[in-house]
Order: sequence, then structure tokens, then C-alpha cells
Amino acid sequence: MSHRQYDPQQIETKWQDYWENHKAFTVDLNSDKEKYYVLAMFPYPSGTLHMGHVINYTISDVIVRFNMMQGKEVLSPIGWDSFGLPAENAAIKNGIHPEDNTRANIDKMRIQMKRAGWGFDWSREIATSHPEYYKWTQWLFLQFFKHGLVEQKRAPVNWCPHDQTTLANEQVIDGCCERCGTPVIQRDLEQWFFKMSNFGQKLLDNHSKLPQWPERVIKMQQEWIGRSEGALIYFTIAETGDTLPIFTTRPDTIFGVTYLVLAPEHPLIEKLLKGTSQEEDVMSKVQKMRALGTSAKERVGLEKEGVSTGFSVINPLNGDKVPLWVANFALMSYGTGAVMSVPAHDQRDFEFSKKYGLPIKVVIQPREQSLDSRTMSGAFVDDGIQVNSGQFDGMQNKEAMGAIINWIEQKKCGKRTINYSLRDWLLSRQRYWGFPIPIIHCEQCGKSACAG
Amino acid sequence: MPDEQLPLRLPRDVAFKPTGESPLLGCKTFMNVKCPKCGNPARRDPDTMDTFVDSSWYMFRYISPRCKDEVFNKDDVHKWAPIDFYVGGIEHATMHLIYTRFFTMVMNQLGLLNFDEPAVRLFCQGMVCKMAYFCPELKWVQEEDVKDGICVKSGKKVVAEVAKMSKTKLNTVSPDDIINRYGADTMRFYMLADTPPDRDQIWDDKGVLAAHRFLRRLWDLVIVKAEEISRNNTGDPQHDKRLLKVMHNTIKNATNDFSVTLQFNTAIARVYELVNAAKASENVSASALRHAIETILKLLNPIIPHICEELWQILGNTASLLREPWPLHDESALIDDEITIVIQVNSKLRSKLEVPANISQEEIERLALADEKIQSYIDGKQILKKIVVPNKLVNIVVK
Repeated sequence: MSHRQYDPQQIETKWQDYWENHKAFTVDLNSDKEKYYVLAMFPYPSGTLHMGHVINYTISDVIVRFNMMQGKEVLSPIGWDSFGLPAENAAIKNGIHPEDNTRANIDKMRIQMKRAGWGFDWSREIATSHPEYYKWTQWLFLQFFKHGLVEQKRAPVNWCPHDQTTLANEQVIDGCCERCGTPVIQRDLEQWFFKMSNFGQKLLDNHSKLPQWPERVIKMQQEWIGRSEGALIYFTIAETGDTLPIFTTRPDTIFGVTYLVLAPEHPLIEKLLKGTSQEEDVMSKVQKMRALGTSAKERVGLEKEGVSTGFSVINPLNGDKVPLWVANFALMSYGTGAVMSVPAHDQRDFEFSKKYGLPIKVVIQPREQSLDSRTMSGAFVDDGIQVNSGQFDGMQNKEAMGAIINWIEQKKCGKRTINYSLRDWLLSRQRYWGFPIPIIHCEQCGKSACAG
Repeated sequence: MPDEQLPLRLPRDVAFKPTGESPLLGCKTFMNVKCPKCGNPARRDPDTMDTFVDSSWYMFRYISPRCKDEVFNKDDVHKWAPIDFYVGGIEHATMHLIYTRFFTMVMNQLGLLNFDEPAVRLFCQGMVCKMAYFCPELKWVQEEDVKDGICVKSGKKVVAEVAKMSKTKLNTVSPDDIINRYGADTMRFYMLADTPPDRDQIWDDKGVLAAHRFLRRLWDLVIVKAEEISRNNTGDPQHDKRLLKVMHNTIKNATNDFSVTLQFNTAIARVYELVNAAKASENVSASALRHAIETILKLLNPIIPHICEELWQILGNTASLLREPWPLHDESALIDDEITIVIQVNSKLRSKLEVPANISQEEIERLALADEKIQSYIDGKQILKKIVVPNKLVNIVVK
């Protein structure tokens, strides 16, 4: 026996054939053994296996084989996430239809994957671009539709100028398209959404059911869902009497409001400015901000820009009249798209005030020292004692938070509320290589679930 | 909505060059239909769906992939889902992993599923990185085009950085090349041998070679030992015991690495210990040696299955290793027969004793006091106290 040499090519083919012929990884769903379902996220069929796939599927294969040897019945399926832009872009470049391109890529990758010796149950292979699969994705969409969990609405949406399609918020990373890296712009379009924002609390609460998920994933999801407790407070436009609701997590600082800002997309801007002498000037600046897009504003280090509307608002707590601005850092997708600005106690507001010479008013004092708004070099954001806050003076700001919200609720000029950054999931795309949305639009009857 | 009318097929012949408008708008045969309610002319929706919708529920379809009249077989899905172990990249944390949780919750509310989370355990693997080189003139360049920090094509100094393998940065390694050159087992072993799988790793050609060499050594070891086993030696029971102790210790720790911590790199390090012990073993019985060698193959089988299956067969076994039960460790084999006790006088180390593991406190005191070296330290002195820490030390305090 000692003359035998290690010949990987020969033995690897031999054992891959053996596993296939003996259906070693074909699961018996009715087995009496303990079940174990191992799944590695399925690949996009780019046509070439890369090392990222190798680490992913090697890990899952180790888990599969280990659990089989532990006496379990293991389900280890594989398939293809086969709709999407790359196939379409490749088709445009090479003149091959995405369907043919995808099929050829799958055939290539299947061979590569078998050569790595990963134990998959190939008898369960699926591809999301096959009508037998997307038939059921369409069916699920219609279940959501029937139960009011999907809706079509006009909204400012993320648009990738390179891929020429809309993107969901989750697919915009640092202001750029998740796929191609092009800065995303905003467009006002009629689009389909899953009503996912109603699920923010449930998505957070259920994390307690996931003790075996990595902590960093839970943390990233918590941040993404972005739950914050605070208050909705109704300001009034001094000149027109319109109500302007704002969301804040710091109602304790409301006496320190020295101006209010609107997101550039805020619908009130046009309404207020129409026919005023400053309309043209202000709108041209607002349009420039809009062109940058909501998500672009989240980009780190963006220079804060703003323009005064010439209107003012009245603070319901103390009757102060303060100017109303439009600023590029205010997000239409967060809260109500209008933000109260407290430069003494918020660093971003502080910087904006310094840039545009807006007043600063201290309403929380630290214990050890006394703040002077004229000499402050930055916002004071820690806890302290309320000052310049009317009947709430002398309270700890943490206590004042609740007391102020109670007062606001009594006077009916606002309410306690919870805000989530999580938005509805924008699901429609203006590209070819995906499955059609099964809806018919009729001028008389509106939207109907459609037939094939 | 009559389900039998689905799927609504994506028409094949469509001008799909992006224009900013949905390509299906231009496909009149697709767009123009009759309203299912009033029968008047109506239009289909021209948009297509985000592909993240497709992947939000695929884990359930896998359980009934060919089911024709239902989205899936509910009984089977309730038996087999949720996923017990889900593996994927951390980049999906706030995309796919939010969407699929949302879908599962809704499907639960609609009565399609009797649970509301898609996966019990989630594991996110690290990225595979490699050195990438940026030339100020030619942008990203291949490693072969860099000599001593200079781009050989432009003559300019390059900037090197460790980056995730990507086509743009020209720092990829093709799995096909590695398989052709060394085999799939080497690639699999290399991926897991050095780095915990949830951390990023930096590709190193030398590491691949080292992994390949280990497989060759493993092969040669088993071939040599198989011959030794065939001679059917009886061996020295004490030698057997020592080898099997390493083996049981390896099984215990590696099993924990495979199931709890998922640190396959440490599991591999444990198996090295057993490989070394088997290699160094002399005068052991054929049965103990077979036990040790077969255990090595079972423990490495999930990582490098081809070579393990082949060697398993060479040892005379017929069925696949996948049918073999995972080895269990024997706790009693881990207990030492003899232990070393430290003897101190006034907290200073003065002697050591080899004693049976289950020795009593009185007996150990007696042995300590009778020790020749200790005698010389306590002779003629008053013993104030004797402190015994079981299985570790005796401290004699004298005046």
C-alpha cells in the first residue's frame, strides 16, 4: 500500500461521483431522525465562483457533514438568486438575452460548485427567475396586497442615475447605490411599497428570540430600525396659522429653540412661498439641495447649507417667534421632515447657527459651571438643570422631559410618540430582469390583482 | 384572484436598454389588457420587482421545491423550518436579513407559517482579502506587475493595501486554479485552518502550500500506519493509554469547536496534536493505533472529505464516512493515573512527588514528611501547620 501517492484530482472526482450516485445529500423529509436545516445564502449566478463563495459554502458544508455524523437528517439545499441587474447589464454589453445568459452562468457555476465537493441536495435546486418559482413570489405579493400590506404611493424615492432605477433605502449605502456606487438622487415617483415601517417594533422585540444570532447583526439592525422615544410638537406658522408638527427626542430643550428647519423635500415650502417676493431666490437654493438627494445628506462631512424662508413659527411652549429655514441636513424620511433647532444643546444646530449668525439660547446648565451663549465653543449636550424654561426651571432635565410632554399633551399642542428610522420597503424597479408586478390598473375600477 | 392564472410571465422579447422608464411599457402585447372587473381596456403595471423580494422566502420553497398547487407543503415546512443554521455575509445584516424577517412575520400573520423568525442560528463569515496594488498611472495593477514596490509597466511607485478580493482591484484568486493545482481539499482546509471563520482573512499563497503539505503528510502517515496496523501488534498497554488519552482529549475539544464555538481553526489545531501523537507512537497495539487514526479521519472529514473518505477506505472500511457516527470522548480516559504534587517548606518549593491520583489527604501528608529532601529542611524544627491543596501541593510551616 505504501507506494500509493496522494493524487487529489483522482480521488476528488471519485468521491464526488460516489456521493452523487449514493444520493448522500438527498434529504428524506419523512425521516424519524432529528432534523437539521443548514442553509448558505444562495449565490447570484455571475458565472464565476469566487473566494467569497468558497468560504461561505465550505462553512455550511462542514456544518452539514458534522451534523450528518451526529446522526441527524440534514437538509442542505442550493439554488440561484437569478434575477437582477448584472445579468441585464451583461446582456446589454454582450447582446445575449438575460435568460440565456443566466442559464449559461448557472450551468458553469454548478460544475464549479460540484468540484469543490460541497454536499448539496441538488434535487431541490431552484432559480428565482424560473416561472415555477416566481409564480409563488407573485402569489405571495398578492396575499400581501389583499391584506393591505402593500400599497402604491407617490413619494420622493432614491434613484440611481447609472442603473436608471429606484432603490430601497436599505440599498443606499452612504448616499450611493449599493450595486454600482453611483451617488443616488431623489425623484418624486408613484411607486410600490411593502408597509414594513409598521413592523419596526416587532422586528426589535423579536430580537429576544434570536439568542444565536451574532450580536453585531442585532446591533446593526437596531440602529437601522432606529427607534427613538420623544414627542411630536405642533408649532404654528406665524403668518398663515398653518400647523407645523415636528418630532424631537429632546423636548427638555424646547425653550431653547431659536429657529426651525424644514427638509428640502418638505411640501410646505412650495405652499408658503408661492407668490412671495423671495420665492424665486429661495426655491432655486432648495432645488439645488433637492438634487443632492435625501440619502446623500447622510454622507459624512457634508457642508451644512440652509436658506431662510422669510416666514416664522411660534413655539407653543413660550410663544417665542423664531425664523423658519430650509436646511440640507434635515431628512424628509425622519420624523415629520421638520426639526426644531436648539443650538445651545445640539452640535449640528450649533454649527449651523454660527455659520448663519442665528441666536443661541441656553436652557440647560451644568452643575459645576455657568454657560454663556456668547462664549460657548460648542453645544452642551450632557444632563443638567433647566433654566430659562418657565415653570420647569430648576428641574433635572431628565425629569423635565416627562413633565414637558405631559404639559404639551394637556394643552393639546403635541403628544408623546415613538419614531422609527425604518421606512416602508420600496419594491418596484424600472428595469427588465425581474418578475412583473401582477396588478392591472383600470381607470374605472382602480387596481386589481391580475391574471397571467 | 384565480391562482391558476399565475405566473404572469415576463415577456421575452422586450427592448430592455435602460431609459429611465420601465422597459415593459414598450411591450404593447403585455401592457394592454382588459380589466378583470369591468372588461374595459386597462393596463398592466409596467414595473418589475426588487430581487430582494425573491430571496425573502426562498428558504421555505426549498422544502417543497416542485410543489405545483401550493406555495409549499405546510406540514413539511412546519417540520423542517425555520432554518437551524444560516450562513452568509454580514453585508446582508440590514438588507436581506431585515426583509426575510419581515416576510416571515407577515407570512406568520397570514397563517402560512406557525413561527415568525426565519433562522434559529445565524453565522456571518469573514471576508477573503488579499494585497492590492494601486499605480498612480495605471490604477489597480496585478501583483505580478509589481517589483519592489514599483509598477514594472509604468515605473511608478505603487500603493499597497489589503482589500476584499474584487475584480476591480485585480486581487482575486480563482477557486478553479487552486482546485486544479492542489485539489479542493487543500482549498477547503486552507480557508479554515488559520483564521476563525467569522473574521476577515488575508490570502497568502504560502499558506495554501502549507495546507497542501499537511494533507500530503496526513496521507503518508495513514499509509504508513495502515501497514503497521496490518501487522496486528499487541503493544504496551501504557503506550496505548497515553495515545488514547490524547485522542479523547482531542475529540472532546474538537467537538466543542465544531458545534459550539465554530472555531474550525482551533479544531484543526487539536487534531494536529493527535496526528503528532499518532506519528510519534511506538509499541502501541494495532487496535489503539487504528482507533487513533480513524478518529483523525472522522474529525477532519467535515473539512477535507475527499482525502478522509479515501484513507478511510484504504484502512479497509467499506461505507462512506458520512454514515459513521461522530466519535464520542471517554471522560475516564482523560483522568491521569499519577499526579505531581509540589512540596513547600515555608512556602518555598523544596521537592516534588509522583503520587497516585486518588491519594488521601493523610497519606499525602505522610509521604511529604517522609521525603528525604524535606527531612533536611524540617529536621529539629517545630511544625506549626500543614496546608494541603488536593492534587497540587503540600506546604509545611515550621519555626
